Amino acid sequence: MTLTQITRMATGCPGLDHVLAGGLPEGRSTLVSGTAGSGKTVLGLQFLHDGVRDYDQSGVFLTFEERPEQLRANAASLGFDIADMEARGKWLFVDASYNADRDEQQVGPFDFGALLLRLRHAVEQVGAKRVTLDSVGAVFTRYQDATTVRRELMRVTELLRELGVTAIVTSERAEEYGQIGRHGVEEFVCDNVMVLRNALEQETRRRTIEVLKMRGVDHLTGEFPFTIVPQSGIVVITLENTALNAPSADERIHSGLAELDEMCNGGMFRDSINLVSGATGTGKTLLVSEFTRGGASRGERSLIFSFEESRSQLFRNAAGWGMDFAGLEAQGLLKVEAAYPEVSSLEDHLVRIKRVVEEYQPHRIAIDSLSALERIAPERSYREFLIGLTAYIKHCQVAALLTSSARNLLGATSVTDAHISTLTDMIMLLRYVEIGGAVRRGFMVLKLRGSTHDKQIHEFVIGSNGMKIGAPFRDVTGILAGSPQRVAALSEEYHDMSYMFDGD
Amino acid sequence: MEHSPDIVQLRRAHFQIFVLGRTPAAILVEQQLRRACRRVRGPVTIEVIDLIEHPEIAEERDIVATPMVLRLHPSPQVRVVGDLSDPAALVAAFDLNEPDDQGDAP
Repeated sequence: MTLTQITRMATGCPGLDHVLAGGLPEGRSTLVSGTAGSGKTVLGLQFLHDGVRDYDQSGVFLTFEERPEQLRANAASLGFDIADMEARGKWLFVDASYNADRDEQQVGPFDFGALLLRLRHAVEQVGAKRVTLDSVGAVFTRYQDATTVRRELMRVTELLRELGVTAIVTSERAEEYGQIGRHGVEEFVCDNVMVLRNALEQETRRRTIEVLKMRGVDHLTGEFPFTIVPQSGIVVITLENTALNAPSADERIHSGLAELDEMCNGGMFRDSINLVSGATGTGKTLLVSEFTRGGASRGERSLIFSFEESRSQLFRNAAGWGMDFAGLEAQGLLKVEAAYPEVSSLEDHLVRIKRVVEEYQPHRIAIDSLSALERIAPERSYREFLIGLTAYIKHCQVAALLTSSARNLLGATSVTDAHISTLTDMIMLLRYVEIGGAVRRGFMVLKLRGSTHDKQIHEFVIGSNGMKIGAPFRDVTGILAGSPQRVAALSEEYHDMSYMFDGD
Repeated sequence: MEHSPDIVQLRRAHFQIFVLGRTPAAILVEQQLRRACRRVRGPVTIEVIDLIEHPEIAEERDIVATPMVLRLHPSPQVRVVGDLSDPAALVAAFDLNEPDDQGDAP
């Protein structure tokens, strides 16, 4: 092994290779530490499974804890067919699990010579490139002589190095934030350490992975959320590496409303994230529908993720605005995915969104609404979800329309909750405007990155043909503040305010 | 400690010693076991199995640590790891305590 260049071995775990800047250091062992239930064994199984499936690299799973039949069953629940890989000679278990029938007493010094022999034998038998050792904590429980166990485990990792295999060694830790290993095991695989966490935060489980150190090689720092999904196993949620250097198109697309195109000086940008904020009933879902209709009129496919209304509700509403969603769907120009936000975690939603986007390859994506998703998770998870989502959308270079409910019926509510405004290219506001005892609706483009835009508040109406944006409100001020007042003419104050909201 | 009724009744014992080559520890464990078995009246069988020659046995028997001594008879099976350098612990582990008047203990 040369010291000059450490090559990487792609794990196959979506997102993790990105965090690892390519993969695990090849020919080295990496310690994966985590509390009970943090996903260490799943990662170990997946590392071998993906190696066989994606790279035709055989694997050896050395288990100190669960029996091979338990591991096979756990893996099967994730959709990993290990028995098949064993039958094809691509996977071998070395079973060193504790069994009450094989309880061992200790009289005098011993070593793990037999284990080393078995491990070497197994690696040579299937020509393994990957090894998982799960988990070292169980060895310390089985053999009380910690000094011997530590020394012998060090010999195991030396053997792994000698065999040139890339290994994951799992280890328990007592607390989410504290010592890496309970038994000082980090000492013998100290070059590379990853930590899996499963923390309870505001009654929600939040799983994260962090690369603590990778000696001599690059990696991303910090905690990355992950989820465990069938067929894929662990999916780490990262910003795609193209997040901030994705080419930005100048191309404009039809927003769905000619008046809106005009207000934003030619339409939405082709790859843009557009947010519409408004109180309930102001017409956010309608705008989504117009966005879809506008796309379909240009032959573009739209994908709507509905978290508030069912599919049939959405179709009925659309029909009320003169839109034939069923027809669009039949033409392949529309796909609707409706689900209750509560059915899964935000990480799972994100993984599902990505999967559907990859399958359907839409030109436009709408999410109605973010607020529905916001209520199911703590703020930090929600923020990570938003960053992951917007980065992914940017990566796909599609136009997205996201809706957000304003809490107050009238007046000023922040659209900067959870810092979403900084992630968006355009913010539109829908507002109820009470003037002279009647409620009317106002539409405003608050911000549009990379372009000038109409800064006036326009009145709009909802009719049997959808949304119709009209002329700006004249001689009224204080709409955004929630207390519109008639004034003789546009005041200086209005101009000041428009500047205040204009900044990026 | 109560001695196993099997030992008293059957007066025979069968041990397997699993080692990796003829190392000093491997030699010591056999010496120690033979010495301790003098306490047992009746036939004692001691087999020494070198796992380097028979690696598949390590897999079959789920052997992790060596030297390992397996008492096949009398049942129940008892597994002891280590070089058996502590005679008292060895006698206790395999329950080799015969009554004192039985004779040939050193």
